Amino acid sequence: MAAELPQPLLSVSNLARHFRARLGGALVRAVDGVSFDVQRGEVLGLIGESGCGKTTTGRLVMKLIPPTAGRIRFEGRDITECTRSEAAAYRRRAQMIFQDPYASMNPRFRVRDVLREPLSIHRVGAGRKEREEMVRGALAEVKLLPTEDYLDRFPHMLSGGQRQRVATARSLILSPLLLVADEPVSMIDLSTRAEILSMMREVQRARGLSFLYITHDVSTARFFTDRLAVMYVGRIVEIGSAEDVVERPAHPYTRALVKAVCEPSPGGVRTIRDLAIRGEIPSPTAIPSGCRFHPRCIFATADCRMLPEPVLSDVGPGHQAACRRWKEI
Amino acid sequence: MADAVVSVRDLALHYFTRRGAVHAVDGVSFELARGETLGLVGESGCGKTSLGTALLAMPAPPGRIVQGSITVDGIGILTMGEDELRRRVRWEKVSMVFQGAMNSLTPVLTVGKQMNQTLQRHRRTPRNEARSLMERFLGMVGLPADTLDRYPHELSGGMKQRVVIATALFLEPRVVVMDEPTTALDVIVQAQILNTIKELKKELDLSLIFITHDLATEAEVADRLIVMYAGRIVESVPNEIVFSGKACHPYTRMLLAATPRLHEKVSDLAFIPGAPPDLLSPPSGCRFRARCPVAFDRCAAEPPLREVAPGHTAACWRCG
Repeated sequence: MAAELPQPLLSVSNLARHFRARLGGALVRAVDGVSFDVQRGEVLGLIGESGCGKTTTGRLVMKLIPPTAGRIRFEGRDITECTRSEAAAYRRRAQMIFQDPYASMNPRFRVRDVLREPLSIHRVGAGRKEREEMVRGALAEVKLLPTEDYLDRFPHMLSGGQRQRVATARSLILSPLLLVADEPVSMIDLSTRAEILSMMREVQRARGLSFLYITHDVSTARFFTDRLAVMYVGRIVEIGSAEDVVERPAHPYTRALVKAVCEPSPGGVRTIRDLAIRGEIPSPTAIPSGCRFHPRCIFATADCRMLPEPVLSDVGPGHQAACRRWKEI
Repeated sequence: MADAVVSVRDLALHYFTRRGAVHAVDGVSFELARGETLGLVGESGCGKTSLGTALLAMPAPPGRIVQGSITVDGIGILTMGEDELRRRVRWEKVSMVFQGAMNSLTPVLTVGKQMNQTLQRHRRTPRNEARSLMERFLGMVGLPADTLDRYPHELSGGMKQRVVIATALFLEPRVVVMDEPTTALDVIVQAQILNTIKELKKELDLSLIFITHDLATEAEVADRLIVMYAGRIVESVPNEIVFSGKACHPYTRMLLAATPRLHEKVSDLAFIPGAPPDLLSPPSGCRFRARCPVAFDRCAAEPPLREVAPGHTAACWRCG
């Protein structure tokens, strides 16, 4: 299988990031051995609950923090350790959209300045006029039209949805190949959320962009992504096409996660749902031995506790899960 | 409704800002039946939280209830003074789980100490009696008794939310208003808490007002939905009608279409173009008119909330 695929745009292998807790000095294994590829033009979703390491993974990919172990390759080149100028070149090609559109913009910058800043940092655009063109082009691409209405506004004069459009325009203006979007719509009102996601999807298709879409929201991930990786306490426990992962989940954690999602359909009111999971997420300072999911798994046996941790293995074409009992359950 | 626990008539709650009065709730009437879970939905700023606070006669400053009446258990609460409200209404008859309340537990007191403060203000209770009462309610929300001796930072988000729910319940009010009680929680925790809320409702014979922007959550808990838009109720409709796609008001239908479904891959999500009107000066006619795909000349006059089927009302000229 793997041999047929073209070289991935982004390839992450055995990536780990451990932190020392400020109090007590316990070792926090936030990301604990994560591998995945993102193809050109592909949207990979990274889903999981708070503390599963999905945000840290995104920050590692963006090189905002260095990894404890593992490699990151971009366009075939290893960029895990690289010079400042190589890192700067990488950041032109890989851009990030942050969760909070209220905190990710300088309140004293007008929209024009917000969009011009990446151009001046990376010395893109020949002069004032060309840069202004690029700024207007980026605003048009995210449908903030007519652009004159927005150029001179400050962030506080924009709605949450408009800000996230500006943030998207800012990330597009350098013509990146990869966008890392960490919960880009979770702080946006529901009626606007769908609008922003549709706009991002449109831009993604039109430009053939690759996306790493990080979210806890399985429903929007299903809409937005081609493939899904499910993270649990620092590891990917299942990865496959969005359809396989949602409709034919193999790992018991994915099954519980999918089952827990509320659907806007009738008939749920009078039922107490069987969630097929127990307990709470363990702390990343005390990751259970064996399969890290075993204490919460309703199918776990002594093997799951005692034997080495199961690794991702094929459960279907292009679909892998890290569970040794997936066939029986 | 003979068995209504809450009855709201022509209520208006305005916020008096420097720029003028914001008509957050602007002429709202509804009833909550005993044992019913009423879902209150709408976009941010539609007035759903303001309406929730009105049920405790406790609008957030600079808000004031400027018109209308609210009766709880047959007693009018808007004519009461602060003292009487505290003694007879708040937490005694109506309690509220505020949005984000789980993050406003004080970090310097144990769960038991802060719950006890609430208890002692309402009912002087000897120490061991108080302890067993609190333990009983923590048990009901699925927390072990020793949670009382723990500090908030030792608890997960889901556990803190359970503490807040227990604190809203332990004086055994008739009505509980829950404002986005599961929004900030992870999916699995959210599903667990929704299960707990359903169990509690049965056990304690509660009537619930469940406020959220998320229709998918309402599908899971609400017997009936009240859809608000720009300070008004636009539709009051049974759960099955909404979620089988038979709601009548275009706004309700568009909200549902904008709610993503997990088991249905769509190439495009529907959305509601535009933004709600400025409530400093609400527009004349139907307030949804500017964003409505089926608006016509009649919408220049505001449609009243009319019955379109038994137990189902809508404010739209296109309905009924």
